[in-house]
Amino acid sequence: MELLSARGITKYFGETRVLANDGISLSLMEGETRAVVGENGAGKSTLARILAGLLAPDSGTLTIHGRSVRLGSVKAAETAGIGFVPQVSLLAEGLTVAENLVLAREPRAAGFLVSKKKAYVETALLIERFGFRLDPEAIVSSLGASERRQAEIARALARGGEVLVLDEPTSILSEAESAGFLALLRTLSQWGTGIILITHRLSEVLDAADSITVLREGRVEAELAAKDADEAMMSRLMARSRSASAAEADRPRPAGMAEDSEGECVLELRGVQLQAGSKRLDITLKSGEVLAAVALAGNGLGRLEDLVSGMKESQSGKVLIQGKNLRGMPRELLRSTLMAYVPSDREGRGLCLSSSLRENVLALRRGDFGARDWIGRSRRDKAAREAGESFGLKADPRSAAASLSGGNRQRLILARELDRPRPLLILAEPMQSLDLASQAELFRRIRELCARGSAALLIVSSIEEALGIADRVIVLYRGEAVFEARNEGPSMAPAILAAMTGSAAIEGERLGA
Amino acid sequence: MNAPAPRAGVMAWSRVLALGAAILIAIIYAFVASSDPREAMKAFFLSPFSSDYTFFSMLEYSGPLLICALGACVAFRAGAFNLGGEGQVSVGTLAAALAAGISSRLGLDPGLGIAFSILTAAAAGAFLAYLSAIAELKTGAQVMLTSFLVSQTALIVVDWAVGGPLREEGSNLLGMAPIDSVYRLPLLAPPSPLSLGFPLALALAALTILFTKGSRQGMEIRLLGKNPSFAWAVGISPKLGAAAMVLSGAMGGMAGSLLVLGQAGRAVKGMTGGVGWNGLAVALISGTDGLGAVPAALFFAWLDSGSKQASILSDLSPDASSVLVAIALFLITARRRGRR
Repeated sequence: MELLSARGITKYFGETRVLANDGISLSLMEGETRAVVGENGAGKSTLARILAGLLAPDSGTLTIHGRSVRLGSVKAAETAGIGFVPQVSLLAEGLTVAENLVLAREPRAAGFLVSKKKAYVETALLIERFGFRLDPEAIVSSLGASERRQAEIARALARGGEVLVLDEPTSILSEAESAGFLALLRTLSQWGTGIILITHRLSEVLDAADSITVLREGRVEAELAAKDADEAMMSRLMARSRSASAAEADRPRPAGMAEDSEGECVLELRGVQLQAGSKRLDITLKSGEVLAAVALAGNGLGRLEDLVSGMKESQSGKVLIQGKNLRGMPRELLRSTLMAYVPSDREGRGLCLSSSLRENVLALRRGDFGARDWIGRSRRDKAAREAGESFGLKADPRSAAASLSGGNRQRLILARELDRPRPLLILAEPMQSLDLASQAELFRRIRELCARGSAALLIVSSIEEALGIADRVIVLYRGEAVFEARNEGPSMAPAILAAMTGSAAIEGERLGA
Repeated sequence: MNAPAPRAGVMAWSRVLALGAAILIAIIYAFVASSDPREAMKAFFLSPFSSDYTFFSMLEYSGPLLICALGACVAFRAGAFNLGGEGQVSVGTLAAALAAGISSRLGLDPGLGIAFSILTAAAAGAFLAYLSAIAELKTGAQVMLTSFLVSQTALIVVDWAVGGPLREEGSNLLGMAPIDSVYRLPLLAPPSPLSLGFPLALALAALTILFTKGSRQGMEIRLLGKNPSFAWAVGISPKLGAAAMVLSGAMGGMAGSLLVLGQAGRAVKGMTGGVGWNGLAVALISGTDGLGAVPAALFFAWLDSGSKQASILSDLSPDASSVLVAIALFLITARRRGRR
């Protein structure tokens, strides 16, 4: 019997009217588990949030048991029986599991008192019925990741959830925990619960799902039965048109050092651990080379950025820059002469929003200007304007950085960081918000700097960006390097995607096998 | 593409507006609280300008106030909420008096002796602030809390010392012996209390503005205060924030030395009289850019001396100025919050 049916879900974002969901339809039967897969930006999370009532779509309908559900209302979604478990845990930390389960609908004793006893009994029954491994009296803050996930699902069920929408539920779980979690999902579907499982990890899909919806660029690319699918096939569907379009465009090969360069070693990671329990990582980056580290969210990319940029200190292993330990290196010297750093957190680390554009641009050239430039400000204005214009940024140097658009903010950061050659370039999501012309300028600039001896580490979640510029690609999965190869062009995309999603089906140049 | 931000100008006007509103409320207050509101208002607003003596007294008071405010501005800019101004002033008074005593004993040149007193006082204030700054660097303890706690302790210790072991023997006053008159700041318009302290404060204001707006460290402190993770990302050391805190403490101590070396001529128990806290208020009103601190300190000094005069000349309570100041502060900070 059909449990849920969504038709023509369409959602635009922002002034530019980006289509995040483009007429997505899907249906779910009782006891069915449907996996929704796709790359970053394919529209998976948008869809999940629309189903949960957190986002109102621009058009589309949703029915549960054939009855129409008002969209854009969390309450309507909950009443209709949709339980949403977001990526980030939303439990009340100081309360027990049972208290969390009955939160906002506490069983009453004597009319108004909250009955803890009833809450525990109710919770214990639920736990028993579905086979959760949870102690109803445990305080949430003492729980591990896996137990938290269980508690969140139990809460959704306790609220009468017949359909569970799970957004990347295993992203915070270890491999063993994931396996247990997927087993739990199978028990739930035996009881008739419908599950929409959003995930990056293709191996899980084949394990847990009955049916698969592949999203690409906001549209349904394919619907498959899990028994007919394999990982290679899904990878191809997720990445399909890109390989095609990239093939015809045939980007010029990056101008880094050619075969097996003998360049000087600029960046070296020795035995660095990115995630708890993950294998230690070694990376070497030589002068003239562009190395791209690619991964999906939650696989250690952010940690890698923190460690190589020196924003945080590594607890394990060493990060060496030009053979010297990053730890204990004077920060100012590092940033003014050794390392350019374009952070992925543009507003937090890349800019001081309440300061002027001028101050943001000149933040790395602080020593160039003194008190006498305060009286006659024009010298600083001029320097800031020239730097900005070199990256196509035209704005009053005295206006606040906060008044700039996203693209201009990114141009500002690039103008600051790439104004002069530095031996090491750490570029985390450097293409964010850039239009094609600026992207081309950025590519050109990176090549130029590397031709003059810089080494660049590109930290990105987009395969296209990695293959567009890098000499070599490393894929991280669960904090470990699972794939490393020289860039041989767009034909590598499916193999890289497979590695990013933890698929075992692709035989690439695997590491540590 | 982007209109130049008119922010600073708008902010300045909003402050003037808030001050105007505070004065309006003061007038209403005078009508309610006084049996002769006309006389009370005249005393309040005009008496500071009625004679050279009252006018110069007002200027003299604005000196330490201005320095405290500048100190608070420097710390605020770096994101350090220095609530220890009062205690830093207090140790400054004690240190200045002790240093003046040493100068007498050594028979130092007057100019040298005065400089020695001021610098010793600055060092004492700086040390107090350093305790908080280092605690934040090493353990992450919040400056806002530690500076207040350290300062309150210092106040008690200084009051005990000045009124106890260091008290002048045979005097009725709870204070140390008067310092040798050659080591006091020269009076500019005797018999009024206006001393060299006021022009010194103005000079310090000019230096502070040049430092915060023009110098490299000023820019670094500003960025650090606005966005610490950005500052770390571009290689600005958090130690600079600690340095700003120490500088702020040094200014508090210096303000204390002006109190001792000026009108009073000695360290007396409880002589800080809230100048540290008022300096904080001035900094908040002036908007931490240093430039606004000068008019704001004068405005404050005007309210303060006006309320003192009004309590003598009319039936207004001497607390009126505190109420006014509180209202002005409330209006200004409320307006700033609303803008964000």
